[in-house]
Amino acid sequence: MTHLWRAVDGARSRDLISTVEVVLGDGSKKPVFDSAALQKLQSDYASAFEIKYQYFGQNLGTAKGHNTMFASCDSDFVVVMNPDVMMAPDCLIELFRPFRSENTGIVEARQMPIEHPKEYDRTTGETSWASTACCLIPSKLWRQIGGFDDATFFLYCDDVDFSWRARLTGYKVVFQPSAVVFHDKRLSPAAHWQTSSAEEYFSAEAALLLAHKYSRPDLVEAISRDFGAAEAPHFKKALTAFKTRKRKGKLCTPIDPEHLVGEFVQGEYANHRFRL
Amino acid sequence: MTEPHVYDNQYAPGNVYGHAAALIRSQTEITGVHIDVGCSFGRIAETLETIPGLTYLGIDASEDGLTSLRERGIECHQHTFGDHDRDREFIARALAGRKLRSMSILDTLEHLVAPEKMLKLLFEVCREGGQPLIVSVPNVAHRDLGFKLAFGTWDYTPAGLLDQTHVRFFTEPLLTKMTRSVGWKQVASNDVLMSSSDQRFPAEHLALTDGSALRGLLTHLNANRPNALTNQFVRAFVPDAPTNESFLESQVQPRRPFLSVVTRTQGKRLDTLREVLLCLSAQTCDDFEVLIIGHRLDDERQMLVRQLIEESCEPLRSRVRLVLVNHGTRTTPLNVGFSEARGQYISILDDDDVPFAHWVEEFLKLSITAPGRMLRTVAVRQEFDEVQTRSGRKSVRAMSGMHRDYPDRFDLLKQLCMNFTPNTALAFPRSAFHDFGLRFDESLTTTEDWDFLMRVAFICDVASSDQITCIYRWWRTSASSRTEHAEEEWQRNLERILEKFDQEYLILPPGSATRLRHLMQHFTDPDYRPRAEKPLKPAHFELLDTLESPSWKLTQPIRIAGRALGHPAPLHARQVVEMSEDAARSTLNAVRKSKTMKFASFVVGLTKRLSRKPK
Repeated sequence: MTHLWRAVDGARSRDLISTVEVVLGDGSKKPVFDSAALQKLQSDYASAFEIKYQYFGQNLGTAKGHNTMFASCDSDFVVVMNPDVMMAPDCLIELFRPFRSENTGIVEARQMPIEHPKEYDRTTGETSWASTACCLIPSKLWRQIGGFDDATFFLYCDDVDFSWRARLTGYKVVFQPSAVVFHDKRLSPAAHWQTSSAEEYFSAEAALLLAHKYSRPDLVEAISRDFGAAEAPHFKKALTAFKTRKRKGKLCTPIDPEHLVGEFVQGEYANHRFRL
Repeated sequence: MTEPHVYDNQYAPGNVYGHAAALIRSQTEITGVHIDVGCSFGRIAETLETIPGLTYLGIDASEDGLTSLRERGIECHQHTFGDHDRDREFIARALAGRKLRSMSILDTLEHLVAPEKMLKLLFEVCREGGQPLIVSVPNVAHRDLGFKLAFGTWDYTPAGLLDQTHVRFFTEPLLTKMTRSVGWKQVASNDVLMSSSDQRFPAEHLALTDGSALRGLLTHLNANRPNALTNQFVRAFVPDAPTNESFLESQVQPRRPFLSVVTRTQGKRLDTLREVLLCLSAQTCDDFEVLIIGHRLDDERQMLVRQLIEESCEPLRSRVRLVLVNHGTRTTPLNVGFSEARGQYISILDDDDVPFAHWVEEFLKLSITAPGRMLRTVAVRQEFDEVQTRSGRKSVRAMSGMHRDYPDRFDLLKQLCMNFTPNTALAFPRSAFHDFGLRFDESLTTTEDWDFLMRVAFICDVASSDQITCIYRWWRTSASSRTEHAEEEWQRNLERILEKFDQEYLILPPGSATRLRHLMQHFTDPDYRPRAEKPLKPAHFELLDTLESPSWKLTQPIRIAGRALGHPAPLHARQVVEMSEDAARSTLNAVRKSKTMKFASFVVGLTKRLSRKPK
């Protein structure tokens, strides 16, 4: 919150923003904040922003969580960010700058210490998709494309899908390296990216769903083959879940038949500058 | 019964009297009486009376010396100090209305049970007129005393540093604190130095005899300690405001932050300095202070750096200090920063380094399990470029994955060959700098960090964690120390550091004897293979095969040249055998993706193609 306060202060001093509301979405089994703690939090930051708290009572997943929180928002722009992300003091200022261009749809902040490896244009910042670890989105765009696809995606790739649909509508997705946030991620002693079991499963599930949605039956088949032959149980579980959806007719209607925006490159959804 | 010693020491320009006389001469030019308290035989008197306008007056409790003074026609008085009011009256009577010029008390305070009372008395005498006081006391911290005491010897003698009648033992800190407490401010010094004091006996003691390894080691460890060779402190003071603080050391030490973070900046990388502050604000352990050492900042850059500090959020902001340094080499800010640091440990975080959230926390954990050692975690190297999009300010762009260049454990013997530890992955115990006087060598223009860390490691050993806690940024195209210094300069500095290693007696950690024995046996018997501690895994064999491949061998000259420029060291089979499986796998991936390897693969393919016999 302290970091957010400094960033809001900075943006306000440049007349980029006026009123700010912060919506905290809580999907844990028991509420993180009781009323006393919430009141104190609201009071501590009252001069900077209004804090709203929504307790969901269950894990809605990121797509539905974002949609639920957005429904209560009445602002021109929305920052979607993880609760453990800390903004640099000028982050909001830098996030807003690409919006001087009319067709900017989403602007993503650069994460530290581990930068996302996806490629972006060094001049325009254009990139394939924006991570909702921290990004800035005009509310108008959000409504225009119908928000996140929470019927298809639970966790992971909901942001890829949101970005691609924004691009299909004619907007650009921009990576802004000067808009910096700290996101506490760490490497294994062998310098590998560390994934949780949730990330492993839901990423696998989302990979199939994304390939299906973006009209890549060839990829669906290839991924299904690999998952079926894989030893790790989460791959088979993801494949089973996909097949069940398919059998029940619950898969979404594919889009982007001409493959205008969908990028599937060596297991990623964009070209990458490097591998982690 | 021992006969009392007769304190009739002759004057000489190089002894305490000569040194004191020089200060007495230089501190004032007014005409008046110089009172020498505890004058004994007053052998300094004749020299002082050659100073224009100075009249000598000696005071002592013992008649022995006073008789000699009178016979020589020098004014003197007998008085036993101990009653404050009587002492003031006595001095006033002795002056008999004459102007007081200066005072001295030479090699006397150490004989008094309460020397602070004497100093207070003399302060009150000199305060009104601001007269200077010259003091000499023997230094109980002379290295000869310390070397002997470390091995259980404390030899009282009839006279000298451990005169049997000494009741107060002075070090510089004690002298400084005691004089400040009662109101004296030091304005000059002219200490007597002796490489061999009267305590350097018995001659055959291994800590005292030249040529013994023990003495060599002890001498080296004391080389940077202030006053190791000071026989007597000879100092000039003038009256100031008393602090009335206790001059005794408290066993309860002042609260220090766990870590001091020293960040050098020339104000040229403000974007990454902003990121450093962001990373520090995100630390999971906040028991640290930050010293930003601004080196040669012009007014504009100074203002911009201050602005960055102001922008950062609390509680970090109040723990950041900006220290300006306008002189010296690129190494000077490190010495200044370390000197200013209050932390129990001190780390270097350059203005383009990237600490993870647990960087401080990991050092703290190590300090608890291995107190007193230099602390080491693991850094990864990542390549970066500068970037500026159309709508953004200047920033950075990661160009590579994480290179696992540095081993997860500190190995002193390997570190003698090459530096495998970036600064950012180290926390130095403050004692190495503040108590042992170790300094960064400002004459080294590169690799000064390797030189310093090795000298610290020799003293306090190293505790290692295999956690990756920081990223060392490797700039592909913009200026860095790699590009700003020619290869010859790197090579010169490297040779200088290796020479310095050879000039020292080294302390090696337990286990080193076995390793050296293996190395020597391998060196003398190429077929010798020590028993492996762990079985090798497929990754080890794949990596060994790769190192034996034509492609890798072809590019050896490129990698050797790169090493002189500070690139990571080439791999040897012995290193591979000792790696963990994960490290071997990671290294194998890196080797396969390396530029030299890709180049080699193309060359080998081309060679094969061009070697095909025509049909």
